Amino acid sequence: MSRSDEREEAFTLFAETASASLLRAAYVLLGTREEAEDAVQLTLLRTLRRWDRAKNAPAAYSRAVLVNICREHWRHGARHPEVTGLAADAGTLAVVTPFTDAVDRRRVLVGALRRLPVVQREVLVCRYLLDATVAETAAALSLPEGTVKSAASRGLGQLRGLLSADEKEARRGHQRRG
Amino acid sequence: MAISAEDEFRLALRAEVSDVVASDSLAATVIARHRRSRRRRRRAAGSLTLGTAIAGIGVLLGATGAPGPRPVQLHVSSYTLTLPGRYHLARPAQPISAASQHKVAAAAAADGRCVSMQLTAPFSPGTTGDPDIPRGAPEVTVGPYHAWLIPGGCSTRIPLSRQHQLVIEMSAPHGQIQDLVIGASGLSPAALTALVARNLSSS
Repeated sequence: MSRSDEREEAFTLFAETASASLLRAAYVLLGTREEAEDAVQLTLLRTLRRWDRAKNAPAAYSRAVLVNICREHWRHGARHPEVTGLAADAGTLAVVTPFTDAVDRRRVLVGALRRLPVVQREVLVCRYLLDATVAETAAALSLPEGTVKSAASRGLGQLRGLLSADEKEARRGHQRRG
Repeated sequence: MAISAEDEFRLALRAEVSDVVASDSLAATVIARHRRSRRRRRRAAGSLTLGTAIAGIGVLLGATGAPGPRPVQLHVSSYTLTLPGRYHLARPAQPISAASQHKVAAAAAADGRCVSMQLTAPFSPGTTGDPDIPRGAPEVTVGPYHAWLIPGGCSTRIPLSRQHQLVIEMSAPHGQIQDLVIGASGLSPAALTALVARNLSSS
């Protein structure tokens, strides 16, 4: 077996293990399945290109790459905002079709996460979706460990607040309809 | 939903996204892309399609404005290259070819030195629009980026053959790639690499 074959085999093993969690993390960070798939494909490609460097800790390497790709994506999105037909019609659809409502409710936690400041969102995704330790999260996000701890704590606190407020709002709406 | 502990949050979050699953062929797709990319790097020199845009910049050497003491910034899309005060912005003497697919180009010159920056249109490796990298062009790391250094005179199809070029891979939406190409004449390849590593930023 050639060196290239060995490298690809090792990479395939890693990709099969890690791609699901990377995809879920990208989905939470970016918001759509399509963007998440693009980001994960690029993450794995960059990891493979640098496999000699990444092979000792490919999970840590790919985490850092994914975060950078998501940041690049946000920066690009901020400079090139797109208004799609679906987004423009989203309010109408939410009222008219119960399916949209059902999908939104299923993603209540993800939706609340996306309302958090970027650093808190990244920290919570790394810690609780990618199973990174505080030190690994700090390395992936280029942040001090203290900042990671405080962002995780504040993020969870804010999430509790957001979810409680959403729940109260939903109850009020339910009572009005009832 | 109430969150009482970190573990509860972890479980709830994972339950919500449990239906987001990766394709079985993801690893194979990535490996295929990687192989295409390697072929691209190894392809023979001669068809670097950046020529047209660079030709537009070539005339900049003589078209200069008044020098200023402050650092000069070249902007292309979201990328900024800050140059020392001895450089000054140069106005393009002729527009970049309309036929060129490459985005905005900018340039600065001082004491016979010329630095230019441009961004290619997004492309998928190996497809139309994928600019070839000449055989043997060394791969370098420029700050956080991966790049190839193309020494001046490497390709006869580049009108400004004296220009050294750094071709930096940048990610673009939808899994595509864009090349940020920074060319310089009057600077050594090492000086160009150091200049870009220190002074290139993205916003």
